[in-house]
Amino acid sequence: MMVKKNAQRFLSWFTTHPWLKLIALILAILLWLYIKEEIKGI
Amino acid sequence: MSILNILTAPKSIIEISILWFVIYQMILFFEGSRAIQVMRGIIVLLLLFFLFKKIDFTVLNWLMEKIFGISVIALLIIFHPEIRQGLARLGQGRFFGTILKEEELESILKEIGKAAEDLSKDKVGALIAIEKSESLSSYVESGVAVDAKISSELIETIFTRNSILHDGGMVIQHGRITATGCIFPLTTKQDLSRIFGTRHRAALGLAEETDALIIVISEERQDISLFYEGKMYRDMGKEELVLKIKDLIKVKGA
Repeated sequence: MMVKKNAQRFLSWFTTHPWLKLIALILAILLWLYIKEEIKGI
Repeated sequence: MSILNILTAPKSIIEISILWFVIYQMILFFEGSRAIQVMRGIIVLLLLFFLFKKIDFTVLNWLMEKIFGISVIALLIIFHPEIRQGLARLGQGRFFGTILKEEELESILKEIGKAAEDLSKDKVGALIAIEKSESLSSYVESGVAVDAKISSELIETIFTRNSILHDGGMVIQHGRITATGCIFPLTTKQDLSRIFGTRHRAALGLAEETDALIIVISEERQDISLFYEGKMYRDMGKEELVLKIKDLIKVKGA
Protein backbone atom coordinates (compact mmCIF):
# COMPACT_ATOMS: atom_id res chain seq x y z
CA MET A 1 0.00 0.00 0.00
CA MET A 2 2.78 2.38 1.05
CA VAL A 3 4.89 1.37 -1.97
CA LYS A 4 1.94 1.99 -4.28
CA LYS A 5 1.31 5.41 -2.73
CA ASN A 6 4.98 6.36 -3.10
CA ALA A 7 5.00 5.14 -6.70
CA GLN A 8 1.90 7.24 -7.41
CA ARG A 9 3.53 10.27 -5.82
CA PHE A 10 6.66 9.70 -7.92
CA LEU A 11 4.63 9.37 -11.13
CA SER A 12 2.50 12.42 -10.34
CA TRP A 13 5.72 14.48 -10.24
CA PHE A 14 6.15 13.79 -13.96
CA THR A 15 2.54 14.50 -14.88
CA THR A 16 2.44 18.00 -13.36
CA HIS A 17 3.93 20.60 -15.73
CA PRO A 18 5.61 18.04 -18.05
CA TRP A 19 6.50 20.71 -20.63
CA LEU A 20 8.13 22.98 -18.09
CA LYS A 21 10.17 20.05 -16.81
CA LEU A 22 11.25 19.13 -20.34
CA ILE A 23 12.30 22.72 -21.16
CA ALA A 24 14.16 22.95 -17.84
CA LEU A 25 15.96 19.66 -18.58
CA ILE A 26 16.99 20.80 -22.08
CA LEU A 27 18.26 24.10 -20.69
CA ALA A 28 20.12 22.32 -17.88
CA ILE A 29 21.90 19.98 -20.32
CA LEU A 30 22.79 22.82 -22.72
CA LEU A 31 24.00 25.03 -19.88
CA TRP A 32 26.05 22.19 -18.40
CA LEU A 33 27.67 21.44 -21.79
CA TYR A 34 28.39 25.15 -22.35
CA ILE A 35 29.99 25.61 -18.91
CA LYS A 36 32.01 22.38 -19.35
CA GLU A 37 33.34 23.69 -22.67
CA GLU A 38 34.12 27.12 -21.18
CA ILE A 39 36.03 25.53 -18.28
CA LYS A 40 38.04 23.42 -20.71
CA GLY A 41 38.86 26.59 -22.66
CA ILE A 42 40.32 28.21 -19.55
CA MET B 1 35.16 10.73 -25.02
CA SER B 2 31.79 11.25 -26.71
CA ILE B 3 29.15 13.65 -25.38
CA LEU B 4 26.94 10.69 -24.40
CA ASN B 5 29.74 9.21 -22.27
CA ILE B 6 30.32 12.56 -20.54
CA LEU B 7 26.59 13.07 -19.97
CA THR B 8 26.06 9.62 -18.47
CA ALA B 9 28.95 9.83 -16.00
CA PRO B 10 27.54 9.73 -12.42
CA LYS B 11 29.01 13.12 -11.48
CA SER B 12 27.58 14.74 -14.61
CA ILE B 13 24.14 13.26 -13.93
CA ILE B 14 24.16 14.72 -10.41
CA GLU B 15 25.32 18.13 -11.68
CA ILE B 16 22.73 18.20 -14.48
CA SER B 17 19.98 17.06 -12.08
CA ILE B 18 20.80 19.91 -9.69
CA LEU B 19 20.82 22.40 -12.58
CA TRP B 20 17.54 20.93 -13.83
CA PHE B 21 15.93 21.30 -10.42
CA VAL B 22 17.12 24.92 -10.01
CA ILE B 23 16.01 25.94 -13.53
CA TYR B 24 12.65 24.19 -13.09
CA GLN B 25 12.02 25.92 -9.75
CA MET B 26 12.94 29.27 -11.34
CA ILE B 27 10.50 28.75 -14.23
CA LEU B 28 7.82 27.59 -11.77
CA PHE B 29 8.41 30.66 -9.61
CA PHE B 30 7.88 33.00 -12.56
CA GLU B 31 5.03 30.97 -14.12
CA GLY B 32 1.74 32.81 -13.81
CA SER B 33 3.38 36.13 -13.05
CA ARG B 34 3.77 38.97 -15.52
CA ALA B 35 7.50 38.26 -15.62
CA ILE B 36 6.92 34.92 -17.36
CA GLN B 37 6.71 36.63 -20.79
CA VAL B 38 10.20 38.05 -20.25
CA MET B 39 11.36 34.65 -18.98
CA ARG B 40 10.04 32.96 -22.13
CA GLY B 41 11.93 35.48 -24.26
CA ILE B 42 15.12 34.75 -22.34
CA ILE B 43 14.67 30.98 -22.80
CA VAL B 44 14.28 31.46 -26.58
CA LEU B 45 17.39 33.69 -26.65
CA LEU B 46 19.35 31.12 -24.62
CA LEU B 47 18.34 28.30 -26.96
CA LEU B 48 19.38 30.43 -29.97
CA PHE B 49 22.67 31.26 -28.25
CA PHE B 50 23.47 27.56 -27.71
CA LEU B 51 22.44 26.79 -31.29
CA PHE B 52 24.67 29.52 -32.79
CA LYS B 53 27.53 28.32 -30.62
CA LYS B 54 27.09 24.75 -31.85
CA ILE B 55 26.80 25.70 -35.55
CA ASP B 56 29.70 28.13 -35.09
CA PHE B 57 27.95 31.25 -36.44
CA THR B 58 30.67 33.61 -35.26
CA VAL B 59 28.93 36.93 -36.03
CA LEU B 60 25.58 35.95 -34.48
CA ASN B 61 27.39 34.36 -31.58
CA TRP B 62 29.36 37.57 -30.95
CA LEU B 63 26.13 39.56 -31.11
CA MET B 64 24.37 37.26 -28.65
CA GLU B 65 27.30 37.44 -26.22
CA LYS B 66 27.13 41.26 -26.31
CA ILE B 67 23.35 41.19 -25.79
CA PHE B 68 23.71 38.89 -22.78
CA GLY B 69 26.46 41.10 -21.37
CA ILE B 70 24.20 44.14 -21.38
CA SER B 71 21.05 42.26 -20.40
CA VAL B 72 22.37 41.24 -16.96
CA ILE B 73 21.69 44.76 -15.63
CA ALA B 74 18.41 44.96 -17.55
CA LEU B 75 17.27 41.66 -16.04
CA LEU B 76 18.11 42.82 -12.53
CA ILE B 77 15.87 45.85 -13.09
CA ILE B 78 13.04 43.92 -14.82
CA PHE B 79 12.96 41.10 -12.26
CA HIS B 80 13.67 43.34 -9.27
CA PRO B 81 10.38 42.59 -7.41
CA GLU B 82 10.56 38.85 -8.14
CA ILE B 83 14.22 38.60 -7.09
CA ARG B 84 13.48 40.42 -3.86
CA GLN B 85 10.45 38.23 -3.18
CA GLY B 86 12.34 35.02 -4.01
CA LEU B 87 15.31 35.89 -1.81
CA ALA B 88 13.00 36.87 1.05
CA ARG B 89 11.23 33.52 0.83
CA LEU B 90 14.52 31.65 0.59
CA GLY B 91 15.61 33.45 3.76
CA GLN B 92 12.41 32.42 5.48
CA GLY B 93 12.97 28.84 4.39
CA ARG B 94 9.53 28.79 2.83
CA PHE B 95 10.46 28.71 -0.84
CA PHE B 96 9.56 25.06 -1.30
CA GLY B 97 6.48 24.98 0.89
CA THR B 98 5.20 26.25 4.16
CA ILE B 99 6.77 25.40 7.49
CA LEU B 100 3.71 25.65 9.68
CA LYS B 101 3.69 23.76 12.96
CA GLU B 102 1.05 21.08 13.50
CA GLU B 103 -0.82 23.15 16.11
CA GLU B 104 -0.64 26.30 13.94
CA LEU B 105 -2.14 24.38 11.02
CA GLU B 106 -4.79 22.90 13.30
CA SER B 107 -5.92 26.31 14.55
CA ILE B 108 -5.89 27.85 11.05
CA LEU B 109 -8.00 25.03 9.63
CA LYS B 110 -10.38 25.31 12.57
CA GLU B 111 -10.91 29.01 11.78
CA ILE B 112 -11.35 28.36 8.06
CA GLY B 113 -13.77 25.50 8.76
CA LYS B 114 -15.84 27.64 11.12
CA ALA B 115 -15.94 30.52 8.61
CA ALA B 116 -16.99 28.14 5.81
CA GLU B 117 -19.79 26.71 7.93
CA ASP B 118 -21.06 30.13 9.05
CA LEU B 119 -20.91 31.58 5.53
CA SER B 120 -22.81 28.65 4.03
CA LYS B 121 -25.48 28.92 6.78
CA ASP B 122 -25.85 32.64 6.06
CA LYS B 123 -26.06 32.02 2.28
CA VAL B 124 -22.93 34.07 1.64
CA GLY B 125 -20.67 33.03 -1.22
CA ALA B 126 -16.91 32.83 -0.78
CA LEU B 127 -13.77 31.78 -2.62
CA ILE B 128 -10.64 30.99 -0.60
CA ALA B 129 -7.34 29.71 -2.02
CA ILE B 130 -4.72 28.19 0.29
CA GLU B 131 -1.22 28.16 -1.17
CA LYS B 132 0.69 24.88 -1.08
CA SER B 133 4.07 24.55 -2.77
CA GLU B 134 3.34 26.58 -5.93
CA SER B 135 3.31 30.33 -5.44
CA LEU B 136 0.05 32.27 -5.68
CA SER B 137 1.86 35.63 -5.64
CA SER B 138 0.85 36.46 -9.21
CA TYR B 139 -2.82 36.23 -8.17
CA VAL B 140 -2.14 38.30 -5.05
CA GLU B 141 -1.06 41.13 -7.38
CA SER B 142 -4.57 41.21 -8.91
CA GLY B 143 -6.27 41.81 -5.55
CA VAL B 144 -5.96 43.98 -2.48
CA ALA B 145 -3.06 43.20 -0.14
CA VAL B 146 -4.21 42.37 3.40
CA ASP B 147 -1.58 40.45 5.40
CA ALA B 148 -3.65 39.48 8.42
CA LYS B 149 -3.90 36.64 10.92
CA ILE B 150 -6.55 34.11 9.93
CA SER B 151 -9.76 34.28 11.93
CA SER B 152 -13.28 33.15 11.10
CA GLU B 153 -14.61 36.61 11.99
CA LEU B 154 -12.30 38.33 9.52
CA ILE B 155 -13.09 35.87 6.71
CA GLU B 156 -16.83 36.28 7.32
CA THR B 157 -16.53 40.08 7.43
CA ILE B 158 -14.60 40.20 4.15
CA PHE B 159 -17.16 38.06 2.33
CA THR B 160 -20.20 39.91 3.66
CA ARG B 161 -22.26 41.18 0.70
CA ASN B 162 -21.78 44.85 1.57
CA SER B 163 -18.02 44.54 1.90
CA ILE B 164 -15.96 46.20 -0.83
CA LEU B 165 -13.61 43.22 -0.85
CA HIS B 166 -16.23 40.44 -1.12
CA ASP B 167 -15.84 40.05 -4.89
CA GLY B 168 -13.04 37.80 -6.10
CA GLY B 169 -11.00 35.32 -4.13
CA MET B 170 -9.05 35.38 -0.88
CA VAL B 171 -5.47 34.12 -0.85
CA ILE B 172 -3.89 32.44 2.17
CA GLN B 173 -0.10 32.11 2.13
CA HIS B 174 2.19 30.84 4.89
CA GLY B 175 -0.67 30.78 7.39
CA ARG B 176 -1.81 34.37 6.81
CA ILE B 177 -4.46 36.08 4.69
CA THR B 178 -2.30 37.93 2.18
CA ALA B 179 -4.92 39.31 -0.22
CA THR B 180 -8.60 39.45 -1.08
CA GLY B 181 -10.56 40.41 -4.16
CA CYS B 182 -8.08 38.43 -6.28
CA ILE B 183 -8.90 37.35 -9.81
CA PHE B 184 -8.37 33.66 -10.53
CA PRO B 185 -8.23 32.11 -14.02
CA LEU B 186 -11.49 30.50 -15.19
CA THR B 187 -11.45 26.87 -16.25
CA THR B 188 -11.80 26.16 -19.94
CA LYS B 189 -13.59 22.87 -19.23
CA GLN B 190 -16.87 22.73 -21.11
CA ASP B 191 -18.28 19.70 -19.29
CA LEU B 192 -18.74 21.53 -15.98
CA SER B 193 -22.42 21.54 -15.00
CA ARG B 194 -24.37 24.73 -15.66
CA ILE B 195 -25.38 24.93 -12.02
CA PHE B 196 -21.83 26.05 -11.23
CA GLY B 197 -21.19 29.74 -11.58
CA THR B 198 -18.10 31.86 -12.09
CA ARG B 199 -16.87 31.24 -8.53
CA HIS B 200 -16.67 27.47 -9.10
CA ARG B 201 -15.14 27.97 -12.55
CA ALA B 202 -12.47 30.24 -11.10
CA ALA B 203 -11.74 27.71 -8.34
CA LEU B 204 -11.39 24.90 -10.85
CA GLY B 205 -9.24 27.08 -13.12
CA LEU B 206 -6.85 27.81 -10.27
CA ALA B 207 -6.85 24.15 -9.18
CA GLU B 208 -5.84 23.18 -12.72
CA GLU B 209 -2.99 25.67 -12.86
CA THR B 210 -1.58 25.38 -9.34
CA ASP B 211 -1.48 22.91 -6.45
CA ALA B 212 -3.46 25.29 -4.21
CA LEU B 213 -6.42 24.09 -2.15
CA ILE B 214 -9.49 26.14 -3.02
CA ILE B 215 -12.64 26.34 -0.92
CA VAL B 216 -15.86 27.54 -2.51
CA ILE B 217 -19.02 28.36 -0.63
CA SER B 218 -22.04 28.57 -2.84
CA GLU B 219 -24.57 31.23 -1.93
CA GLU B 220 -27.40 29.57 -3.88
CA ARG B 221 -27.03 25.95 -2.74
CA GLN B 222 -25.25 26.78 0.54
CA ASP B 223 -22.79 23.92 -0.02
CA ILE B 224 -19.07 23.86 0.64
CA SER B 225 -16.79 22.50 -2.09
CA LEU B 226 -13.07 21.89 -2.16
CA PHE B 227 -10.97 21.98 -5.33
CA TYR B 228 -7.54 20.41 -5.63
CA GLU B 229 -5.43 19.56 -8.69
CA GLY B 230 -8.39 19.81 -11.07
CA LYS B 231 -10.67 17.72 -8.86
CA MET B 232 -13.81 18.85 -7.04
CA TYR B 233 -15.00 17.50 -3.69
CA ARG B 234 -18.62 18.58 -3.21
CA ASP B 235 -21.09 19.00 -0.36
CA MET B 236 -18.60 18.95 2.48
CA GLY B 237 -19.34 19.61 6.11
CA LYS B 238 -17.02 21.59 8.40
CA GLU B 239 -15.31 18.50 9.87
CA GLU B 240 -15.05 16.79 6.49
CA LEU B 241 -13.51 19.90 4.94
CA VAL B 242 -10.85 20.22 7.64
CA LEU B 243 -10.00 16.50 7.47
CA LYS B 244 -9.77 16.55 3.66
CA ILE B 245 -7.49 19.61 3.65
CA LYS B 246 -5.26 18.00 6.29
CA ASP B 247 -5.17 14.83 4.22
CA LEU B 248 -4.29 16.66 0.99
CA ILE B 249 -1.64 18.75 2.72
CA LYS B 250 0.00 15.61 4.10
CA VAL B 251 0.01 13.87 0.69
CA LYS B 252 2.59 16.19 -0.75
CA GLY B 253 3.85 17.84 2.41
CA ALA B 254 2.92 21.50 2.02
